Amino acid sequence: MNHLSSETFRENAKAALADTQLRGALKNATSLFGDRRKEAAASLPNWEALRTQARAIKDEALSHLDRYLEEFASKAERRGATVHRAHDAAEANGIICKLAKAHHARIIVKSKSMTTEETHLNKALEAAGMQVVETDLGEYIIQLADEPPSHIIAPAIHKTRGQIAELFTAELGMPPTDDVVQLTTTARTTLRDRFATADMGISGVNFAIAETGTIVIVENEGNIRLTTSLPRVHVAVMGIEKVIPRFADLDVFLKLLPRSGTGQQLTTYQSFITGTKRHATDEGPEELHIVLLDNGRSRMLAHPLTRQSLACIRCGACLNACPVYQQVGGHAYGSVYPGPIGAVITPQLMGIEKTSQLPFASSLCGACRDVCPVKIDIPELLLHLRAEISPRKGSAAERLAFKLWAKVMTSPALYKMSSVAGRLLQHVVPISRAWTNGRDLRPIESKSFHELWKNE
Amino acid sequence: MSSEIFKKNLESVAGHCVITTDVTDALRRIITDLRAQRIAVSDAPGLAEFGVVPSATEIFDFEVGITNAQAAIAETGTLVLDSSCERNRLVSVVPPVHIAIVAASRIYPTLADVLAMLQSGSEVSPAITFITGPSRTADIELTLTIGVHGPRELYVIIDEST
Repeated sequence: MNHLSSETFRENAKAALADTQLRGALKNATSLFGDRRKEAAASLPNWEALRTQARAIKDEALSHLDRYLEEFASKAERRGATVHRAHDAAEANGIICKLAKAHHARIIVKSKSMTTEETHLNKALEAAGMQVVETDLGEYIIQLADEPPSHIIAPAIHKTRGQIAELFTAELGMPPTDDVVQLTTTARTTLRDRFATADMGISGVNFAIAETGTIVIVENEGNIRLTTSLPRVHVAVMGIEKVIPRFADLDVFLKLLPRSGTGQQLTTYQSFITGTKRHATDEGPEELHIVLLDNGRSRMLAHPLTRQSLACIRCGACLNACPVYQQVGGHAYGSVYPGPIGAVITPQLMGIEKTSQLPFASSLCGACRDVCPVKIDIPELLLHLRAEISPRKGSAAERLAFKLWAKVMTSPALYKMSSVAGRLLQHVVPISRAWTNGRDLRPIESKSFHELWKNE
Repeated sequence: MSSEIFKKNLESVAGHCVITTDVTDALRRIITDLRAQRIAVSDAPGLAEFGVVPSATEIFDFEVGITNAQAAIAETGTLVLDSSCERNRLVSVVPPVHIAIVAASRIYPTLADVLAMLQSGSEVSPAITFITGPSRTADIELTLTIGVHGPRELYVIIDEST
């Protein structure tokens, strides 16, 4: 089920629902992450205050984004980094391919970056003749399988250890085993070789600090540290929304992000990188290039309602909490960003034409809003997007049905008639089979409230 | 007090911690227990007798890496490594075992305290790394596996002699 399209969400979802192995894996993952998040949030007495504070910081950064970006870029450049600005995905990929060529890069190691998934950077680099190796274990697995990630923070949760073992045996010549430690060791050994020979390292960015020009990247495995320490050139790719004003703001975000994502107090590693090394003999890359990607983000920024979509810190908590994601998983969304936040940002990034089913992939229950560490009102955004879509997309029958319903509900005489008609016809006319297939419909009472009231 | 809180939090994420007034003795014991032969050290003073300072190409051949940590956070059991103070970037991540030494007086109570400290100099150091426990992943069937790309074991020696 590789590379599905957002245009066929309904079909994708149907296929996912029939896949019992996938649904088992999803249930385990989403309930485990969800429980851990709840525990981790409860361990901080001021969780709600932190959420409010985080959102205020993001709002501040986003309402003066031009200024903070400028400050970040000039501070980072003063410390030796080179900052590039990319209007769209093609431009970002072009900049990075050009850098790779200029440095005669043959092997490029990459740490996990949703932003480069968004721009399909690997394809562009491979087309330019470079070998790109994903080094996050989950990303490495799906790269070998030629599949997109199915979860923001656990990209390979849809695969069983058996499937991964088969993949490693076929692709890496590993002796057959389904021992997780053995699988992990195989990946470690293979990737060490790549780290040792890579000419360039590409990473994402979790936070960019305007005040100091620092980029902060969080992880558990250690592959980001290797990617950003070993190769001669480090390229960091970030959406323009990653900038926050002050170094001290990290206190709030480093408390919220790991707790919301995996339920950890802190992930194992945080790398704080400010420009390039001071002396040629110091450890670390000689060059640092930071690519600032817009790719539709300015459009989101322009509207006061959609602006909050850019506050997202990519923790994945809304995926785990979403009753739709829990059942269909990430691939069904047919986009890099799945789940509730994906249903909100994908149509805004890629245009609504090809993604118009996504804002409807929600029951609007609000669980996503409740767990969001930066209090993004996802249901409100979904409704906003639906309103943009429905005038063009709603069927004629649906429009007629709602028109009739409105007429009946606003006329006492018609309403009375309708309740009598409902009682008489309920056993004759089949109500929508999609509803009654899986459950019974409660019969309509023999006397209406109005009639009971009159007889009293 | 801070030492004990740090120890408890580090142990909760599968790290080992020794609180001592004799760092050399503690280091020797750990190395002996590990039966380690090939030991890499950062260029910090006092570590040279325990191993060699490797180049970037040699670094993959060592079993243990020893560095200092410039600070620590008690509330999370986190080490703070500042690369402008010593060559600690690769020695602390490539070998399968990392041993770090931190002065008890450099343990700060909270993350906020450390962030303020890191910013207090004339400029933020080019590369700072926070380390909380050994490297880990849960990318295969959510099974927690210790030791992926970074160290499988992390030992922290807290120096209470100063």
